Amino acid sequence: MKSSTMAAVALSVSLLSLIFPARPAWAQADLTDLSLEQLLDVDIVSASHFAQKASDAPSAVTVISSKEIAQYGWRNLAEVLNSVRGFNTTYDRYFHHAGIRGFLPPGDYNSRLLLMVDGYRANDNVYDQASIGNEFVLDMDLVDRIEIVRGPGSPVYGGNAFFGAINVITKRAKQLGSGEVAASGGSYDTYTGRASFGKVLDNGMDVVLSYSGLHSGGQDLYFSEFDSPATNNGWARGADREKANKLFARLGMDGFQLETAWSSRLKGDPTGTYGTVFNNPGNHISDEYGIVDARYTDEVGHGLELTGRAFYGSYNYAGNFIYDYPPIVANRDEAYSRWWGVETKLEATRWQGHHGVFGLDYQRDTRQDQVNFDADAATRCYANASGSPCLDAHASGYRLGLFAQDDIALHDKLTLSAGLRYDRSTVAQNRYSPRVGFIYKPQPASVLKLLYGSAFRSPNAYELHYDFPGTPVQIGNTALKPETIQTTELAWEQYIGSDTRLQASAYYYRIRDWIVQVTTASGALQFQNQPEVKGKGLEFEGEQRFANGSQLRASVAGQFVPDRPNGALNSAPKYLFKTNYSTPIFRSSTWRSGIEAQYVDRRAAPGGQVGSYTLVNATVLWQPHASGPGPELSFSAYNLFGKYYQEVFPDNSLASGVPRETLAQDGRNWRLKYLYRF
Amino acid sequence: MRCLSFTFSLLSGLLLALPAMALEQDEATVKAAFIYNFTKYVEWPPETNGPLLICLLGEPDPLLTALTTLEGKQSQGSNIHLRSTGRDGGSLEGCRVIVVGASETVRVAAILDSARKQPALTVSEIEHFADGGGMIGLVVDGTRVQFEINAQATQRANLRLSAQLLKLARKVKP
Repeated sequence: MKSSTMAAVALSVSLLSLIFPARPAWAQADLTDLSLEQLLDVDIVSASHFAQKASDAPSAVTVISSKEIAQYGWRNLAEVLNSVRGFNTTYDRYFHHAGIRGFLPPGDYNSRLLLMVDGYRANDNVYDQASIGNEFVLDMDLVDRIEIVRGPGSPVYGGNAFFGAINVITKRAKQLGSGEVAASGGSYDTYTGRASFGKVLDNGMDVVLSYSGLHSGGQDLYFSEFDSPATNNGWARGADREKANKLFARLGMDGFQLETAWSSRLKGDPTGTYGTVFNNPGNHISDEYGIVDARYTDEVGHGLELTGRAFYGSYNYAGNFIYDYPPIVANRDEAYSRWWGVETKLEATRWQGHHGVFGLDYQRDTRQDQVNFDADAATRCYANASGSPCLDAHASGYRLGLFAQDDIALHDKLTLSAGLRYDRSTVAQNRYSPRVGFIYKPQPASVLKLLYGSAFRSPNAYELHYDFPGTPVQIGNTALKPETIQTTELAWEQYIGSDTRLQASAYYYRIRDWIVQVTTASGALQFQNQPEVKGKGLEFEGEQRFANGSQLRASVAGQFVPDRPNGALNSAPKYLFKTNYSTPIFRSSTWRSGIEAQYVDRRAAPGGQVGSYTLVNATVLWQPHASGPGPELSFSAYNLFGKYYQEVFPDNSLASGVPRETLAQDGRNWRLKYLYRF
Repeated sequence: MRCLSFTFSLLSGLLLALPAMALEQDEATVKAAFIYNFTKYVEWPPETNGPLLICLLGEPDPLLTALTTLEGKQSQGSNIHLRSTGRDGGSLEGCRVIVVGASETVRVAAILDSARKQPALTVSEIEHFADGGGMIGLVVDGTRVQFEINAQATQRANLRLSAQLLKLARKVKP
């Protein structure tokens, strides 16, 4: 480790030494004076989640609550993941990319993470993308909690749960009061607004409706590789703009739930990527995502719970890119995807010592279309000077999964968790993914887990079918095989009293037939299966809460995956270090501050490396009525110390011919947010 | 970097110098308060008399420990008394509430069988407790404690739960 790592360690040690002695005598309010209704609204600290989670958790689960989202001022999922052990994210001014377990090929669309909203899949079916930026379908204010599972997880998760699964659970009506309005303003001319309505009707129906909007003027950005009079001396002005709209609605009653979410986002491109005309406001992309999910859960017998669900989803992508061939032409890069599916799951707790889950999921991909053309009536594709579109690929398909898992109590203190998943799809025939775990609880406060799991990911429509005749040429590869991963993990969790949690884990994985974009001998880009990648890592985390209501979480992750496995670039850091500290301030229960520090080790870049950095974010939150009606105000400063740092840029095919390897990330910026709950 | 670390420490030190009330509560304490509240909403069979005896069954854990603070409190005009019966169950004689500790996950069914002889309310934080024949299961949903009721089990034991309690339950198994 280098000096900045040491500084980050010193930082946390100084933090720890400061707070451990500071444990003021504090008389706890007598909770037995509260009524049942009041008790139902009392928030508990997440520390002892383990009583519920340890036995069924396939791996150590991180749970992020809505309260932490408010305390740390997180604006999107990427910022949440940055605070979580073992994750780091990068931004290329289109999308946020998440690194996990030492794995982050530049430009990767997070297809190895399964993203779910209330249990339904939010990865699209062309790019398999897990959207974690402002294009994500849900406003962070509607999030009740986020559960992050690392590793292949449970056999209930199919397809993309390769490195992990993220389930975002939305708030119920009661948590929104009878309604909320929120507005924020911040750096880069960024404004957001939200209006939500929540009500539990007399017949017990839980209704939530919400609309959110975001407008950002973006930054004026300087790129030295474009520093010439012809390209505005390297300045992209007004090209970083972003607009987003989101709608969400849910009706829930007894075991029934109907939910729909829709979002659309437009993002300008200031980077001049893919050889486009630099600083042209016509360069932008848009994403539109929509889902309808209906679910019913019922008790069908003693200790038997049946869940059935049906869903329909759509995702549209449109990139508008300005090229000067000449003439100046707008190139359209578009994707249209539609899918529907059904899922059924039976959970059995009726037999003593067993907890079984059996199920089936089926998804029909009715549309996975990708097109690319120039907006010119005569020449539809300037890249190959033809009258037909550059790309017109239509695909459809299905996937079917069957799964079974049983947690068997072998002994008072030892549980065997055994699961098997069977999958088949248009591109993958008869895949079996076994998972086995031993969970040993020598005492109620400690858990030791040994887990083995295998998972696979089918090549997606983008990897299979995307052809583009430009510079560089990209060619599809219909011969792609699914990639598979086998993970072995040893995890240990220890609770000391009810205030301290310690956790350590070590993992080893082996990816076969890794799907990665490579440059072929002829200079074309193509996704190919590479033979093998091995990775291993160690993670430690500690969480402490204090009698005065402060909470501290610190983690370190060491992850060891080659920088250039099979010649492809992996720009994940070797070390990650995180500290999150939230505490009441001003001797009052209504003010709170949340400070986080994240150290990210240097990463491999095409020409060498990009430097390590430490990022500090701070939020002050005023919450006079913690969960009742009333106002709430917060001020957040992101990258508080204005650290200049860069990430690897996925594309170096710039029009200027000067390769770009890295892209600067945001400097110091802030947000002021007001919320009123009725 | 050193300067940064210094500033950060100073900042957190300043914030820490100002202690304040906690907003969040310990899970076990909240669950104990729930159990105290439950005792106010249960109607035991008329022949039941004596003190309101809460029996704690299982190895000491945070919840069972938190419950010991209820000793001497009043509920429905009776004084609450607590009895720790350890893991072997000891005698369940006279128990009006039986709290099954987290250590007993594997033996729940056997414990419920032996508790059936008593008109006692069975409560536990063990997963699927109410589904598995227990009367009230405490569950954590996100950051909040909720409870589930198995109405059939309470009827079998001749206990009556108030409508208020049934209304507030997250799930009532008929």
